[in-house]
Amino acid sequence: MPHRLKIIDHNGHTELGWDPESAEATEVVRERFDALMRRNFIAFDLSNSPGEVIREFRPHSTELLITPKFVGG
Amino acid sequence: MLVAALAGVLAVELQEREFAAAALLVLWFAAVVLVIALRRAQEPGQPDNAHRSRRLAAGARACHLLREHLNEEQREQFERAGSFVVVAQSGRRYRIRSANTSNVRDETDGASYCVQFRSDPQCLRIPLEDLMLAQKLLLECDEPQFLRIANKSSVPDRRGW
Repeated sequence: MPHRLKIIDHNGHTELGWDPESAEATEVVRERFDALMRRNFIAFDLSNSPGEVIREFRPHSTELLITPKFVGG
Repeated sequence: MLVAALAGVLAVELQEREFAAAALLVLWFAAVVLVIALRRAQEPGQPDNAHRSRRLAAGARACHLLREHLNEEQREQFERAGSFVVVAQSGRRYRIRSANTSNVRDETDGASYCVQFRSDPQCLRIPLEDLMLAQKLLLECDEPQFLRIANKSSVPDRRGW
């Protein structure tokens, strides 16, 4: 089963895939995830229903979705 | 008198030649302007067309992602009315509609909520369907955070609902 990080952006979204068996590939996605979290993005683990708000990268999750920070409009 | 007549004829001929030369010059200039105008008409605002294409593609991609995360009932609601109902952690039902502001409504008391992405240039170009998906996920996964962040209007807003 593919492991995907979906980043909400002006392209609709950008997808990064990784194989948990590959430390290098996992690290690339982890670094991207951490960089976005440092910018106060919000991350969801959607592997199960209902989903879950997370603060740390989960290498074994099948679907992570990360969005920019929310503000009241 | 003959010389004068010849000079007069020559002057007229010169005037005619000058007139012809001037006319040719004007015609040439008009042709150049016409060619430039035609070329511009054939390639209208390429940068704008490319930008518009990117925006349309991003919107389609966002719509597809949103639909992937709706259940069958929500998908039908969205296709029919451009809105769908989300059941939050507390059990309260919220309707999320296709609008840029105050697009989340509590179905119980009619209060509307406005939650958006932060206002920087990159976020302003994020498609609306992505915002709707993010709002849905936040309501389902962390309703208290949604309510903390959102600007709430207690006056029922029935426009477009």
